[in-house]
Amino acid sequence: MNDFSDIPPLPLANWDVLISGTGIKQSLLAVAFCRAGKTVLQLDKNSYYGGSAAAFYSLSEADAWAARVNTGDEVGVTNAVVVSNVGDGVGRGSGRGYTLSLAPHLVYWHSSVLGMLRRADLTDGFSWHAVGSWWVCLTEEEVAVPAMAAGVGGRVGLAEAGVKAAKLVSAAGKKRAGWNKGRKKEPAAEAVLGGGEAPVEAVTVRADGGTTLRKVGNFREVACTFEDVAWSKDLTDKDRGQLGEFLRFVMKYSDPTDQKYTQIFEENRQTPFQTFLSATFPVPPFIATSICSLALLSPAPSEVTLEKALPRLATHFSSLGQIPDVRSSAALTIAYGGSAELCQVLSRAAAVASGINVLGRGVKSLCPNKKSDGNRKLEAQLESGETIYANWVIGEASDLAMEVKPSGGKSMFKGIYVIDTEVGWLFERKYKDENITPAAAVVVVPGNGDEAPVYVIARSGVTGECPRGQCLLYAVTASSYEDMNIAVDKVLQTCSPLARVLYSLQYTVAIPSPEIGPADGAVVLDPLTQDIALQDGVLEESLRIYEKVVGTREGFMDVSEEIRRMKEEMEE
Amino acid sequence: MASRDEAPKLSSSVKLVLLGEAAVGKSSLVLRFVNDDFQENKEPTIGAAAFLTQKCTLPSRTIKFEIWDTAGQERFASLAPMYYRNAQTALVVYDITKPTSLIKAKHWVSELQRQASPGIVIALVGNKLDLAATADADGGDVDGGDGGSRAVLTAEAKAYADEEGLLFYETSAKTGENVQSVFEAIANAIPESTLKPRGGAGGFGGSGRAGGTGGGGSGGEGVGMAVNLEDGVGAKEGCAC
Repeated sequence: MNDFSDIPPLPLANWDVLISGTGIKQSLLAVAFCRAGKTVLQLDKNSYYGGSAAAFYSLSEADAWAARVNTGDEVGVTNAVVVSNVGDGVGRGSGRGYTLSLAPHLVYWHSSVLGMLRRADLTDGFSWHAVGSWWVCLTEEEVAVPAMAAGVGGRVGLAEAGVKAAKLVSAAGKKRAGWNKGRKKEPAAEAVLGGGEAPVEAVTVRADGGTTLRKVGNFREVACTFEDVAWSKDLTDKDRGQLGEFLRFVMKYSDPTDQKYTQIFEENRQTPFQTFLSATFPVPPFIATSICSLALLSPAPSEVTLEKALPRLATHFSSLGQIPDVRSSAALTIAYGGSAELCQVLSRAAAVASGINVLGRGVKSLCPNKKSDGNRKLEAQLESGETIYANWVIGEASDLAMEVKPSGGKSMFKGIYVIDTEVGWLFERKYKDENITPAAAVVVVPGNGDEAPVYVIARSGVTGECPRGQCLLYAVTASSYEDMNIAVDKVLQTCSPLARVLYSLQYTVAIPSPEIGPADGAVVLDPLTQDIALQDGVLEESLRIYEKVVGTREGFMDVSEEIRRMKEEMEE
Repeated sequence: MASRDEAPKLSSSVKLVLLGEAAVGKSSLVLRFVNDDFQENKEPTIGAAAFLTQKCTLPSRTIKFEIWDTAGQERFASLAPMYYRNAQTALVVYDITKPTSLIKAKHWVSELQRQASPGIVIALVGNKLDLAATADADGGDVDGGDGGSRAVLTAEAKAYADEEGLLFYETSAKTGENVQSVFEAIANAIPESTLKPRGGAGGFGGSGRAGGTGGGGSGGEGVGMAVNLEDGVGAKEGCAC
């Protein structure tokens, strides 16, 4: 990007740590090692940050990446398909207008990564936006079930149990969970409408104090807040009881003091989640589908086991209600490309902490340092012809000139769609008393049995990633490009007149098999997973490597006293 | 330092990014402006603070500059797009004793025109004015090389700045000459429409300009959009205004 010809030589040949690549883990580690006082050189063979979590700042940059994919120059990515309906001019060639990200991650409030960023004093480098509701595309039958049940009046028996259970969860999880923080507030008297192309049946209070879930076409909002569970007229009182009990289970399954729930969990670890749900906490299919969608797991329902789904649901529900001013949200996302922006901010933080980052210079070969006087363990030849010595060399296999093993065959299909309307209903506030408008939303076209679901993450122009009046849809599925297109069409059908896809880029990512580290001192990172939410595993792997190099996990990312003092002085 | 006099007219925070070749004196300029200090033979910038802030009080407005240092990232083509993002102003610095540094400065200007916000105010600054003066006085005891004499004519740089619509100053971070003036000129030049009142907490304060533009779906721009992760900052923020 800063394509100036005369690139100067590196300032040193000897380093404590050489990091090849500027992805999320690489950049986290760069900051951590710099802050721990190591000398750190961070290289990237590309002329941009982020690697497999990069962002493209114009449609033509995205086209160029797609071309590299199709010539086999992007390891692990294949079959890029670009369809452009953009005439010349609009966004083409211009430096701004679009930010298309390879990693538009959601970040749960209770994720360990967010906690770490806050402790590391790094959150103010970003603009954080709220992720609004999850919407599930239901069949006619599924939609019909609750409609029939809605007539059932009176809150007796199980209804009370349900509300009670929900309240218990809230009491138990007050500190940890607090998913129903807003319970004392009145549900919004009327929905915040306007701008939506489709008629939204927003959250409304009925005469008897009940509310209804929002629905648009066949899309129905996933019941999530306390109000939804306790009062929604889409649920029968029996459903309320089961759902309340299930939420209690989600909060308690890993609590060793709770024998009952931990035992249920242990006995059903390998049971498909939906089978477990309908047997243990029988709820109507549309609720089971809705809850399953919150886990953001890519396999077909038959392959989603309880032990895979439950930790994710626990993260979801413990995050819900925690975000200031937007109690119906559970997750955030970073403006300007999600984790692509994270990588850039971290690289700057590394530079601020005395690290050196260099773009456009990759590692050509790596071997043990054989020089007799060499006090560094490894020798790296760079593409630029320079030789670097380091005690530790860290990077993904493809960034360390190592052969990358062909994957086990499973692939994820991903798509980025630029839409010519806002699809406003996705981004409306759920409750009138919330002060934050979501800039992202999740749409799920559920799988059935052995069919994998399609997830569509919508991002509005508020993220700065597309012009106002447009929006971006990021589709992810283990199914196919075709199913992905069908899912996007379903979203567009809710817009009137029908919205158009201005530009789309589809690509296939091979799900990589973990690598084993070879030479002493070389640490091979696992490639980034294709998850929709940023996983705690990212931090865990970074901590593991940090411990290996520094000898302890203590002090990971800690800001030095000196810097902290300087910062405080500045804030005065 | 926190002078809490009568509430000023218009108070706003402004992101200022520094650009320019290594060793032209970017950090020195900022240190002179912020601390009124100068260090001879300063080390290249690594291990800087993430950014420095300094207020600039004018008759009509008070601007608080959030000054982003390159942190040395300009040396290896590794400045990220996020560095330019939402910058309202940029200080592009060259060394008047080093013609190549002006060529580099021109590169940065075109980079800014390509990547930064359209309304960005760019100031071109020729630093090390003190060296030009001593060279004159010494009567040319250093000739050629990168010794101590002026090698970029004021008129040449000025003509370029005029052509591109840039503010232009020659400064000396060492003596402090013109440093204050550069920042004041920038503070004056920033269009009122791009100034946003400070204090992002909540979504209440910003209503000043949220009025007409809401239009589409989601309320006024920038109001009630971003989530504030800095719990309890509200109080602090309040007294800094």
